[in-house]
Amino acid sequence: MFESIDPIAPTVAIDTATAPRDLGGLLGLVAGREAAFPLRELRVRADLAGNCCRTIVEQVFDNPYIEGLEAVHIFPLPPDGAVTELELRAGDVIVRGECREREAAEQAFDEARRQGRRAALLTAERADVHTVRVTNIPPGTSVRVRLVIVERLEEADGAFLWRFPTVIAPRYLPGSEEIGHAGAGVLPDTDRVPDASRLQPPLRLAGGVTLDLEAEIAGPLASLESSLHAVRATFGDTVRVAPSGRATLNRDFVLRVVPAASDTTMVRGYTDGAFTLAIVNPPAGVEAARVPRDVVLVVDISGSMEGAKLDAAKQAVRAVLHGLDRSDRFRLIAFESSVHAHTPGLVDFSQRSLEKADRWVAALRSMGGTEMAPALTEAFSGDTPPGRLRTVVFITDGQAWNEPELTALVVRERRGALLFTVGIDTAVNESLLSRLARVGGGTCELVQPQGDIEEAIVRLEARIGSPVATALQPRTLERARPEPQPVFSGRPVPVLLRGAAESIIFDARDPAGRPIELTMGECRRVAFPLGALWARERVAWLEDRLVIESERKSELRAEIVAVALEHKIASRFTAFVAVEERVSHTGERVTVVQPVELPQMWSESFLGLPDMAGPPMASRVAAAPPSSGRLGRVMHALFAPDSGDVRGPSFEDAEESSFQADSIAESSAPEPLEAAYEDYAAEPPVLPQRGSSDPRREIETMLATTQDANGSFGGRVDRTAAALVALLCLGHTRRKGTRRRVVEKAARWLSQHRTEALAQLALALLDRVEAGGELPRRDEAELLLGAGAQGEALNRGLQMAR
Amino acid sequence: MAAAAFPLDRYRDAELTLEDLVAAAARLLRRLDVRPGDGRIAQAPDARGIRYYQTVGVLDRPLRYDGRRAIYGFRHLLQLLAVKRLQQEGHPLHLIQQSLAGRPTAALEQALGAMLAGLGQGPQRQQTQGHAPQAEAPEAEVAPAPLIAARLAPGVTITIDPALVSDPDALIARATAILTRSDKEP
Repeated sequence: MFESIDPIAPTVAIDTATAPRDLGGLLGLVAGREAAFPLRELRVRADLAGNCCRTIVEQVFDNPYIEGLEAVHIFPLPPDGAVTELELRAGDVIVRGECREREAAEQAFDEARRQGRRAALLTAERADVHTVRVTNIPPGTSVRVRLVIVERLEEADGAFLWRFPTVIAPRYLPGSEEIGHAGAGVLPDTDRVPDASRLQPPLRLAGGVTLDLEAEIAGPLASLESSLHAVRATFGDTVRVAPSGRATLNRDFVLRVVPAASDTTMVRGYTDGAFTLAIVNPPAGVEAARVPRDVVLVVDISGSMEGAKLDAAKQAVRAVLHGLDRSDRFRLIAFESSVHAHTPGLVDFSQRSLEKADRWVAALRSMGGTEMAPALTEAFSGDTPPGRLRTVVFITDGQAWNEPELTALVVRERRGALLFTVGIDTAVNESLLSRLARVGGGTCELVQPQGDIEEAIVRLEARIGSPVATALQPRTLERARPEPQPVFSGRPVPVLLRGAAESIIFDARDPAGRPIELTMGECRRVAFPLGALWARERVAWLEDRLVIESERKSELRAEIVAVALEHKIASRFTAFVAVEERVSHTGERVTVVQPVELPQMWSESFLGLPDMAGPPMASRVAAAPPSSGRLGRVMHALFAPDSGDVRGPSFEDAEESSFQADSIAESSAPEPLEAAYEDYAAEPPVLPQRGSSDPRREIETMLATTQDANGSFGGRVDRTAAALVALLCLGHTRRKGTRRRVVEKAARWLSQHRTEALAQLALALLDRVEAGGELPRRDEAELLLGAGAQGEALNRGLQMAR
Repeated sequence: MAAAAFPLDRYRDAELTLEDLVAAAARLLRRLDVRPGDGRIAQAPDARGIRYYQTVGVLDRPLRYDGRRAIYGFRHLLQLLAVKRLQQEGHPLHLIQQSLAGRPTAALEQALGAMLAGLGQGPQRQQTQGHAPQAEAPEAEVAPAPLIAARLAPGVTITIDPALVSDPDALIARATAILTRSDKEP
């Protein structure tokens, strides 16, 4: 038996004469004094090498209470990651966790709890959501739970992306009936999300847990960008990165790593002897088939999108719209609790429909819940005639809990349409958006609300539409995900195989349907647990099957257990448990579920009762106006429709903001750092942050979003020619640069006006640059621009652009 | 102690639906000197408020579900009373959140019981029983309202403390009815 111990604030023995009239005093709540929650710190150490990453995550828990503590922490991990190890560390005691079937692990944990032994349990609730429980932490002591996670990095447009989530955002819970509350989270289980009670941690109203993160990246690197202000240190080819200020668990940490030498081998191979990771590059020189597209844009306007996220989403919609072509048709759908469509069906892409759509988008306001299902159903509904390709672009923060339901819906209803997802958030639901894109046959792009949406959409644009190859399948070895896969431009396809071989041949089909062969010549030996990656991907595939073929539930579940136990990874049905030998706490024990911060840039008001929550925590940050820079204003004045007789603004200090087209590649290149890593704090070199404003990009954006549907700028040859030359100076042609489509459309329109000298000249310059010749010279540009009605202003703008 | 916790006692093993929980809280909040209308913060919680308290973790998950209905218990009632009372005292919710995390049921009960005593209920009751000396009564601003004396039948008079009974007339009516009924049943 145990003695009863006074609670934290020892309650005074009640003397009726002096009985306090202040509950705060009785509970020891002292105005202004903050008390602690169990999780003190999160330490993350990541090792990135090419496509692979190994991360050590250490959660440090304190027991600030006077009873024993069971701490419960519901937290996210990268959805592609496999937890391969768990260790419980208390003082100098280290207990290694065991991977067991979930029920068995839970039983072992419950028994340890009863016996007063310290124990840790890690369970995976979803691909991204995990729970760590640590029980019998004696008062006044600390424990560490150390996890090892292996993952495969996404690769897009020559860069590797590492995204480490730190917080589960408040997600929308669909369902009309509450059916129970089995888990430790704050939401009830519902008819549509029967596991909801395990998923949502409580919301923390003030303060936050420190993120101590360091990533080591094997180089050499061409460039490195981070979502947070970060510092870097270089040791030979290796680069270390850490956030420069105090970071807390309130947003994803994203690194975009561009290796110095891009590997253009057809298929790269890595093996640990037993498993192989093959990276299939999109076949070089193959253009996707130009099939006229029926593009349906689905945009999330629910309450959680309020503020910067909705602004970013609108920007994304406009960017996709303006990238469409004359042969395309489109439709806009906005959703919250209900579905809003701008037209009953698809409309032809024309100047009129484009302007109408722009106005409709501008008027969207955020409100309501995140009911994605009816919006997706609407997007897939209706017929697309043969010869056209239906493409759905889904723009959202992804913050809803019905991932299995939506996955099944996409599989069931897409009927050949391709689903591309665009995730916009500081703490995006990558698990949902990457999975929907995977079963939807498209790709997933994730952006920060203040990141460069334009750029992301331009990257996406090259893919919206047909793949450059289809039906990719290895001839030998067992694949983790057996279905043949499409290959999109800019997106190498990772293929995990059981076994190893000197050479592997992949079969695929080119856009015209002809068979092609891709060969993996050489296979590099790596010391990385590729088996765990294979198993993680196989489990993900089996989870997809579970959703699609629910009648095979028990069979698929058994398969998941078998694969996960063989490779000792956590899954929904396998867990890690570590139990200490000796008894460390008997006596009263409290259970505390760690509350977590609202992600950055989230508006708290949508939660319903802002007045009850005290001062708002998340300051709403408005997106910067798209043309904030001086150059942006100039170009806006020049190219905005109906700009009338704009006088050239003054340019006295033009030199300050000069930049050059030929320095594009260098602008984001890292500065070499001499100082030793330990010294970085003294004068931290700051990494370029995603989305920091760049006048060059502003001009590009301006050009891209003011282009008319027919490819002209205001239907005028002089303006269109000037725009084309400006784009050339900025490094874009029909074949290279992110604005290929804008150039192509402008050139096509100009070629219909070849009778005009300006059009001829602009097209001649384009041909010259595309043939590898020099960029437009100053005199050439002046000749071209001097003829226009606004020649002087254009000329000045262009000078700056050069 | 037991005397101080008296008004809470009857809820010790209670199983309350959401409506019951809200109603019980509203009743007890009046005794804790938290009254509806003292600004929005002091309003009795409704279903939406309960949902919010769950979201921020100051209210535990339900005990269980009875079909599709959540069932709450003693601990939930104590948590709700504590949150509301602390808000009334001017503590911001983020400090309340920290303070209530990991707070055992017994500790909440003890503190709330002491509060009820401190607000005069305990001493008043003792006073009517003639135990507490007049001089040691709590501060003037919580001076008890005059007791109501009601003669229910010849030779039967009850006194009612209006601070403890929300509707004295109804109570008198019910008590009278009981007496009347027992008269008829020999």
